[in-house]
Order: sequence, then structure tokens, then C-alpha cells
Amino acid sequence: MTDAVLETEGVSKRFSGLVAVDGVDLRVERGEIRGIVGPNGAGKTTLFNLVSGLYRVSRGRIRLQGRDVTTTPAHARVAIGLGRTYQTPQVFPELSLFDNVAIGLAGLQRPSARGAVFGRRQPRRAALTSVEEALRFMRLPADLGALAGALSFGEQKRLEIARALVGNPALLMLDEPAAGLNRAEIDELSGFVVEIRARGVSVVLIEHNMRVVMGLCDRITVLDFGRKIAEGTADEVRRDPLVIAAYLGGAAGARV
Amino acid sequence: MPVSWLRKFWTPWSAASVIALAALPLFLWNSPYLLYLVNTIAIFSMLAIGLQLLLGYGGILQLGYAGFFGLGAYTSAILTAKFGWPFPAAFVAAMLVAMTGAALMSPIVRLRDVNFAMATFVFGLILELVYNQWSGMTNGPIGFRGIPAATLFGVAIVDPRHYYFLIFACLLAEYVLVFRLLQSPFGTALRAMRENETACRTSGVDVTRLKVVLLLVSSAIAGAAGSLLAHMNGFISPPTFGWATSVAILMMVVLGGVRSLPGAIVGATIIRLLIEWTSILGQQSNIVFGIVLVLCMAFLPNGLAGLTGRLLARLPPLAWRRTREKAT
Repeated sequence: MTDAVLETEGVSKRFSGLVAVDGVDLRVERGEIRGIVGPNGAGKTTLFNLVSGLYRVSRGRIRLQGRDVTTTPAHARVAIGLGRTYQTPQVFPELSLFDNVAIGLAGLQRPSARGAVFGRRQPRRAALTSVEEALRFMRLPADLGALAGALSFGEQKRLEIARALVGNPALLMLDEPAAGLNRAEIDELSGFVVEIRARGVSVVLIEHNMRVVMGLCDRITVLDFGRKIAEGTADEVRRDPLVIAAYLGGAAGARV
Repeated sequence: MPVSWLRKFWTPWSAASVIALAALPLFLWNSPYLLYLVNTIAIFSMLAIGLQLLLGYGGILQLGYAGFFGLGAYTSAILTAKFGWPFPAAFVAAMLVAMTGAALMSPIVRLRDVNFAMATFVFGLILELVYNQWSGMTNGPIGFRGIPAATLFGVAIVDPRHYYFLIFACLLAEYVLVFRLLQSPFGTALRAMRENETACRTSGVDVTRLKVVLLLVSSAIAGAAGSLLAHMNGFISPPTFGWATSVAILMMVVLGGVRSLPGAIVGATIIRLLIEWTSILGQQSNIVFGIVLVLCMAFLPNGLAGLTGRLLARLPPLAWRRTREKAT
């Protein structure tokens, strides 16, 4: 019947006086690459925080892989199949590359204190294959013991994606993946997103770089002041008068 | 490549330390006073490692730790003296009761930073109040007398030399247990939580559960240490388990270095000796501690372990250290 990876129904978030997200309906199909755009303060990252469970919704419902996760804590949503990144890469700088990525397996192999002390199994060894695969996939150095803090900014962003991917999520949410990257790195990133989709992972990305959004995304959702003002293919959105007025502005709209 | 914990555990230093500590009573054979001091240092080393697990590895500031120490001590004392339980059973019960206390406290792990610390402080005060007020069980402020000596396999351990081996075995077991814990994926999750709690949550780690488990483990350790103290001294009283002791244990961790297990033992040794040497000053001894704490914060942000690390980094790398670094 439905094969939506992510569905939100009238999702709202109110911070005392401010309504940051206002009744947003979103439906991301399996295998889709969805772009979320909007001016600064439109509520894009707040929407990400709601979906990933860092914030509780004020109103509305969220379904992940058909399961209602509205009140599910953040870590349990990862186990259901959600991975995400942040605008500025949130890696663990004093942890090794191996540990940074292996944390992404925590939802599947719950790190247990009892198992750690009395267990005979070597869970690290079991994790090794998937961690190495994730690092290789994101073209990161195979130096498992290197500290994440020593990586370049672009590498840290890729490391974050590797951490999100290692648990084989159904949906990957990227918050401004191209921000702070140079042109070559941005092209590389677009390649990654396509490859990630080829692995069967749906992608939702927030992005200000219109070249990336227009080139990559199957559909684009436009937010403004917390509301969804348009949705459709790149062409449809580009021509939408509301979008041109609210987001791109008359002259800019003509150029894009 | 991940290396088995044993290969990480046995360094020339750790082997030498274990042998030296195991042989320690041989050198103190004729001084019951020094042996007693060493025994209390070992008990406080257990406590320092337990608190370090919370503070250094979990980033949790627990200010009522001595209260759980007391839970273990009173449980063990009451069960053996009033109900005739054998020591091993009372020892296990002490750990379980301390864990139960921690389980009761666990809902507060959702509080953040200072709020959490304040809540633990108050919890510690409440426990001390119980020890003072529940006279029927604890004998109140007068103190609990007549705690029988620990017995193992029917033999009473009266001699402090023999008691040392019991405490040392517990300390070693605790050390290995915590060491393994930190080497495991659980330990990785802990370090990740300390570095970035939000990223940790959205990577699938149940941060609340980690904190509760930490509280339970560290309280079990405090309970065990309390039981050992009760049977060694034969007498316990509420002030031993009050906030001043909590602060002393905290100072041991901070002085030694919040993330170094050997550092916790060194810190426990120094602070315990300071307590001993300044006891003639009475209340004024707190001034000495205050000064030590301030100096630590100012000059040793990573404790003595951090200082040692900085000094070692200046030396040319030793051959075995080079190979070990490659191995990890």
C-alpha cells in the first residue's frame, strides 16, 4: 500500500512564543532524494530535530517506515532506521575513526555493561567489517586508530555520514551537507548522495546550494516561517510564484 | 586491530605495580598502624575508581557518593551483627542494597549538569540523615559497634595483614572489571557520550540507560567498599558517610586525574595520607584541603596523570611503548 519511509502529519513545534514549525505534512517515498529548502529561520533544522527525536513535537504525528515514532526517543529511532548529520560536523574528536563509526552500531548491538565485563564474545571484531566498509565507502583513511579531531572539515563531514550509514538506515537526513565545502568537494558529495541512494537508502537533505538541490533531488519541499509553501520537482518549485516571492525573490527566481 | 583487553592490561608498569602491591604487607609486617592506613587507602582507592567511572568516563558529577558507601557499610554491619548472616552473603547484599539505592535515585539522570549534581548531593544528605536518625537499626549518631570480623570459608580474618589481601583482591577485581568495561563498546559509548551527548543520541546510543548503568555499577562498588570498611573497623558512624567524605573522594579523583585508573589510586593515597597527617588540626584541616583542591584546579587540570603524561611525552619514546601504540 504505502511505501513511505517518512511521513509527518501536521507536525508543529512551538518554542514559548515562536512557532518554529507549523503544521508540516511531509511524505518521503522509499528510494527518494528529497530536498528541503527555505530562507534562514524557516524551520528546516527544527524539522530535522523533530524527526530525529531531539525535540518533542507540540502537535502532529511522525511515522518512520510505517511505525509511529512521535514519542519514541531519539536513540530508538536510529534502531528503526534513521541516520542524520548536522550543519557543523558533530564527530567525537578525541575518539578514533573506528570508535566514531562503531558508535553508529550502538542501536543494533546495544553496548551492555554485563557483556563487556563477563562476555567472551569480541563485539569489536564483529563490528570491524562494517566499520571498515563504511569508511571505505565514504573514501576516508583506513587508519582506524587515527583521531577524528585530526581530520579536515570535509573529512569530518564524511565521517559523520559514515557513522550514520554503518547501521544501514532506511533514511539518511543530511543537514546542509555542502556547507563549507569547496567546489570539488561539493561534486564529490553529490556523487556520494547518489551512491547512498543506490544502496537503497532514502535521503532528505537541507541545502542552501541551489546547484546541489536542483541537480540531486527528486522532489523539493520549500519551507517559509515554519510552513510548507511549495512542494514538487525542481522545475515545479522553481516556477512556483509563492516560492519566487518568499524565498528567491523576483530577480533571483529568473536566474535560477 | 582491536587487541584483547589482557594485552592492553599487562604493561611492565601494571605488572610491577600488581606485584609490588601484593608484596606490600611484607614490608609493613611489624606496623599494624601502617597496615591499617594502607588498608583504608585501598578501600578509598576502590571508591575513587568507582566515582571516577561516573565523573571521568560518564561526565556525571555525583556529590553524594559517600552515602552509598554508607549503605554498603550499614547493610553489611546490620546483617552480620543483628541477623547473623555470614560475611560473604552480607558483602553481596551490601552491593545489592547500594544498587537499589542508586536505582531509586536513577530518575534524576534526566537532569542536567548542576541540577543533577545538586540532586545527588541532597540524596547523599538524606542517606546521612537516615544513618543518624534510624537509631533502631543504625544506632544513630553514637555509631554501630560490634561488627564481627569478616569470615571466609569459616576462618575469621582478624589480622590486618590478612585483611589487606581481601581488600587488595577486591580492588584488583574492581580494577580489572572497570578496565574491561572501558575497553568494550560500552566504554566507547561512554566516551562518545562525554564528548557529544546529542550526536551520541542520534547515533543510536541510549544515553539515559548508560547513565543509569553507570550509577548502578559505581554504587555497587561503593557498597562493596563500605562492607569491607565495616568489617575491618568493627565500628561505623554516620560522619564517615557524610558529604565531607564525598568531597574527599571527589578530590582523590580530581587530584589523580579524572580519566586515569592508576591516577585514582595515587589520588586516593595522597588524599588519605593528607587526611591522616592533618587530623591533628581538627576542623582546620579543611583549609588544607581547600588549598589542595584550588591548586589542583589551577595547575593540574588533568590531575597527576595529566602531569605524568606531559612529562613522559618529553622523553624519547621507549621501544615497548612504540610497539604498543601500533597495536592499539
